[in-house]
Amino acid sequence: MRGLTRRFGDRVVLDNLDLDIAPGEFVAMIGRSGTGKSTLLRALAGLDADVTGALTVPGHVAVAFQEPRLVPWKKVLDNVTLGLRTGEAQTIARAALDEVGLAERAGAWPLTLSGGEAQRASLARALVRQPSLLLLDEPFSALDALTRISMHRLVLRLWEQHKPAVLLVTHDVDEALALADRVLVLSDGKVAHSARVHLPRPRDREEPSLVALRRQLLDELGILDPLKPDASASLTSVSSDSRVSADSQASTHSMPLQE
Amino acid sequence: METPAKKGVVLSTPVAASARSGTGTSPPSERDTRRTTGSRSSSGRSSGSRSRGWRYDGWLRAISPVVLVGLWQLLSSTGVLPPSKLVSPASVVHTAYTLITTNNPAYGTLQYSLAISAERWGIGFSLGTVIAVVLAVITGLSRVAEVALDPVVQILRSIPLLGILPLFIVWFGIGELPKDLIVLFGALFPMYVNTFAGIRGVDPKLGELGKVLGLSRWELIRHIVLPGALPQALAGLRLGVVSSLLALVVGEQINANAGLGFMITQAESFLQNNIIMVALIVYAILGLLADWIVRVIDRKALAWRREFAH
Repeated sequence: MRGLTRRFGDRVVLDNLDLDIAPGEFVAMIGRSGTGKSTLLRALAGLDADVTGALTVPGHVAVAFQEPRLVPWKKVLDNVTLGLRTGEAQTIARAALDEVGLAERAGAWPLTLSGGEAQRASLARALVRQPSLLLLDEPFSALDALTRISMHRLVLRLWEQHKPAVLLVTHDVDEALALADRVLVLSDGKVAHSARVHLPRPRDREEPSLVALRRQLLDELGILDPLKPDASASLTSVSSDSRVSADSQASTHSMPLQE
Repeated sequence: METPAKKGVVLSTPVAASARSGTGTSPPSERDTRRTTGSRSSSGRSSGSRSRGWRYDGWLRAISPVVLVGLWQLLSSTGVLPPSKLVSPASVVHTAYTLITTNNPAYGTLQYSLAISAERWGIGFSLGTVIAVVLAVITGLSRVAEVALDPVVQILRSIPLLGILPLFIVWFGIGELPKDLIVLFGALFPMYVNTFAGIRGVDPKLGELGKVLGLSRWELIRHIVLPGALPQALAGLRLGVVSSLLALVVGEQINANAGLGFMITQAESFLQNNIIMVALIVYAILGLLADWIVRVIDRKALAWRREFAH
């Protein structure tokens, strides 16, 4: 995308944003609440009519939202086939459900599924179209921590199998670091920081470079690590594009990273 | 716009209200607070513990009406309640039997009168419901249509339906038409209001989902909007049943020459309270039957919701 701009009244949420995502690349975007992460994703999904700028996406774009958004009056299988126009929709859908581990729940009503199951169905529905870009809008934030871990594994498996480009919007820095090739920090409507993660997956949380990167990202977000009071002074950035200075965020950094 | 729930309170007849209120449907907002005893299932769908609870509860609910009727019979038999004021239950049963078996020259048998009334109601109710749905779909899906048509419907709705009957008679004569029309309008307004609300009330997040999935406008309407509006529309249907039956009762009493209402007016001239009682009870049964049918539809069509309400 080039020059993406979105205003809400006087507030500029996306400020002339430029971003490239390579095919098959897993990009995570983190940022404080209200910085426009979801707005960006919605613009990419085609849900926002008031955004200006140039946007090019080859092929299908699929979205998984924070709530599973399953149509409650259709069974799980019918949810996955919704909108599919090929003749073999049922077979394809069953295969997708099998991949996410919901094969035996194909005939269930959505309201009887647990949160994790529903989100898996949502993923199946997203993947059934062979998208070239998969947009994930904080899809696991509503799940408990244990389910989240298994969902991470599932997403990685699906990604390795189908290789779509992925843009994951999340407020969880650890999630971003565990999954992505590249982590972007969105701040003041711009990409304030971009960090590549070259470690092979699955990644160990305790890995030193990961720990350092985590501290750095938290610092970028304006949150001081409680273990190291002078962390902001000791870190230097690895690779950054137009980096927002730490001073401008100094006044707000006492708040914890929130939803 | 007044809420559909309020409208239900205004229009329910006393007889209908005393009937079993173990409704299978409650407005979506009350879904979470519904107790298990409140959701009935006479089909074998319920889980073991629920059906056990239901059967037990059902018999208990019959006790107070039975006691009341017994009390009534007692008062009539001892003469405390004179037959000129209110006839005894036994007399009502006897009268009903007589009406069923004898062919009165004026209004035929009870079942004949009932058939006439039921047919009248059936025509008015189905037409009114269909027109209401069509209108609601049009105004629900298009803001332009809403601005154009909805105000007219709301104004018509505010005119007292039962008061407009004499006007209908002036316009359409004293035949069947004014009676059918008044039943039609009785069914139309609750159905329209609720269906419209149901359509507008569909979760916009699902609308977004449809867009993201690339659904065409028609697919969106068929898969998301209409099924989403169904719970509220069915609530409107039940209110329409009540409202149209009330309209039927009144419509039939003016210039009728057949049907239950005619039977009542004839009985009034001869001070035959027992016949009036029987006719009213038959009306009530008609209402309960129609309501039961809607509840069955509700249970079948909204099975996806039912499971959630364990």
